Amino acid sequence: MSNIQIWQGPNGINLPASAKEAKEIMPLAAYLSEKQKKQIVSAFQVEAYDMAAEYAWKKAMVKLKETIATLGLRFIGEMLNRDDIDEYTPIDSVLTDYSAIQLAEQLGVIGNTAALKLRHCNELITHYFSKNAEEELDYNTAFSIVKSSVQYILGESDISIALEFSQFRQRLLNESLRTDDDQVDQIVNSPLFYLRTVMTILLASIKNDIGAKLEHAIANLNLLISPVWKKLGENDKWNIGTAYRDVTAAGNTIAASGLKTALLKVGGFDYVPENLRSITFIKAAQQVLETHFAFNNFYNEPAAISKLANLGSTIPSPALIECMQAYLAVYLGNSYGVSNSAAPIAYRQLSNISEERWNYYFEKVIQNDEVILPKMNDGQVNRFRTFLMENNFVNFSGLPKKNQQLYDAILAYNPRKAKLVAVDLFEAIKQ
Amino acid sequence: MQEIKHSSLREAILTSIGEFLYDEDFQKDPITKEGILEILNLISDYHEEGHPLFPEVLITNSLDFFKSIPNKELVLNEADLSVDEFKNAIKLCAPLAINNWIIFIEVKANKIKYGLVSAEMTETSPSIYNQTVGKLKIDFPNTTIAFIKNLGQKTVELSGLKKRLVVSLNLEKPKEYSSNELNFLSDCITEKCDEKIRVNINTFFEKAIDEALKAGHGNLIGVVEDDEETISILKEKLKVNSGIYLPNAIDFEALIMDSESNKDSESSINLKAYASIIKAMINHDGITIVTNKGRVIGYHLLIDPYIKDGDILRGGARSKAYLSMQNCGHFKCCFYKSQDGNIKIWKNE
Repeated sequence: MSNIQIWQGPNGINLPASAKEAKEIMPLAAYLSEKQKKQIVSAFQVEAYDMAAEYAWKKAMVKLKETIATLGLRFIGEMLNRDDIDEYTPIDSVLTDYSAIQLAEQLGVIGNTAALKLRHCNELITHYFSKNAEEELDYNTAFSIVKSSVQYILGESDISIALEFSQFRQRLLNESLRTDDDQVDQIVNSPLFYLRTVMTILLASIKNDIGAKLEHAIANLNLLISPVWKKLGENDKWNIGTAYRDVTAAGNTIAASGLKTALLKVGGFDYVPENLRSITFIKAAQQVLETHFAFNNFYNEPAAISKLANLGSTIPSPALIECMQAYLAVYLGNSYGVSNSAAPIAYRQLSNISEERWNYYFEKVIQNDEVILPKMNDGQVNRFRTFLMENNFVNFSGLPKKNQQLYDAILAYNPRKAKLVAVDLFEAIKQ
Repeated sequence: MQEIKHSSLREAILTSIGEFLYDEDFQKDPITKEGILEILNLISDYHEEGHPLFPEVLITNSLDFFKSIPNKELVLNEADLSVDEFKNAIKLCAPLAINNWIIFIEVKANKIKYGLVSAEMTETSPSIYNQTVGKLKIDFPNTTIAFIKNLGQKTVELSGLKKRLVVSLNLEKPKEYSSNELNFLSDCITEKCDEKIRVNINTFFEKAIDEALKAGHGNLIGVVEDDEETISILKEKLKVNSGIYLPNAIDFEALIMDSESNKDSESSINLKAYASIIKAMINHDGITIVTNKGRVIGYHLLIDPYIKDGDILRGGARSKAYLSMQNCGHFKCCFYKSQDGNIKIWKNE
């Protein structure tokens, strides 16, 4: 068995392929009331395209976030690596649209295609509604946003967490699985995308549960860790090491003992952070990414990235991946360009990262970098190349095959190939 | 001429250390054996300019072992292996081995490296002892460990991953030692604490009391039921000739919950501050009283005698007080440590 998807989100309702107007698709928005549907159609009729798109998008995002919240906010906090989120946190105030789409895909609320299209809608919305947007939202863009909102979210009267995911999560926390269990085989052969979620479910339980649930989570982690360790990404490994450090610091000796045994099995103690300094860096880097994917990103990025840069240029190892990802995201920008004030700061910080760490990034990290892999349009590849050339990071060899192809394509300014390889790598995370 | 036969405590202990090293698969050369003996001897009654010190020592064959414990290391010296260098290690490091820093010694072939290590992250993080040879021990590949700590006057514990050796460096009758008294006491103190965080509170009390005991001249701790009626009866009826009942109990369950949920430096410092107070209270003369919900309600309580017919009185005032605690009928659990390290625990079943 290989690359089996343990759960799979739906890819939306069928819309008439020839639909070109709101009035053709709005009747299918089962989640909306008749009045709400009419309001969107009317907005199109009076050419208030931005109002129509924003209204539909907001409704879709609220629904998506409500659905995600049914899993419990503490679990959501664990999925996002955010300890500031607990059961009492209003989900709307902590979950950006970008994170909501990412989580919905992970939890099987929506499928891969849906996630891809909704991410694109999010980029359009954040661009057109940003302070410095120069053009107005046109009919076609507005229609595509409304269409995707209806097709993937508003078309269902009640979207939900994938049943397979819920059942699977229940099994992970309520049973100690055995090696001869088919589902263990499924997990072990799953793409990284699913393994990440499995690890997050187990770590969340180990950190927060007690009694039988905790015992099951520890047993299942110890069962799964050896066969999946090599497939896990570097930051997934750091997450396990950090969890071990957290529960030890908290005096939770049952959890600490379970995680220690698991790390011993795979020789994973190199991934235990020495101190909490890295957490400050990781939080600041997460903030940069949240800003990057939210409204007015070009305007807000300078403050967020300065905060990260001011923590110092000696980035602790456990935070390296998040920091490089954040700096690269800002430096490479999005389809609409870069933040003119933030990008030079990102460039300086990226230049301060040693050649050895860049080699590590291209060897072990980039293939699993869900943020940077989609940033391979012409302009972005050119910026990446310029950075590598100006800093003389041009001699990396012996990388894994696809990583090497991507690195070489960037250096050679071959955006078409860079994009193709990046798409391959991105899909390999999920399929 | 009569035949001379030499009976030496040193030889007997060296043999025990040799057996320990063999069981733990440790480097068994004579220098290491003698070096450990010297450490046991020094640690059993260590003073620096008149002040007693209670350094703990971890000996290992590889510092890689520390990877398995989130820690901070401070290497002080590296030299050729010799018995004198073991002694130097203690002399140089002992004054610095305070506030949960302990001495480490790496013995690798004919080299010795030493310094200090701390695994202190928060007030609730387990002690290095617990993380290495206690409940969090693991069999780290190709690694051997010997942990040395003082248990009382002239009594030292040498623990590895498989064996635990208590060495008495005097000729008195050996006391009873087990490894579970503190664990048992912490279980009693946290019996009614919130289940979700009980393990964490347990770890906190185990470490805090252990630290207090190290520096104390003998201690008494009593655990009572956490309900207002029991506490008011205790305050009214327990006959004491001195002591303090706190107007507001120190609620460690609340402090630890606060520190856990906020995870900020202010709540952590708050917990640390109150932890230092309870350690000082435990080391004051008399009984420290804690409820079974982690609340400290009184200290320095010098109990009047509650002696029953037929009770056999042995030892000094603290032993009598311990017996009175059991007889008075107010306590669920009583803990006693004598000046020479003897530990007893009693639970009202």
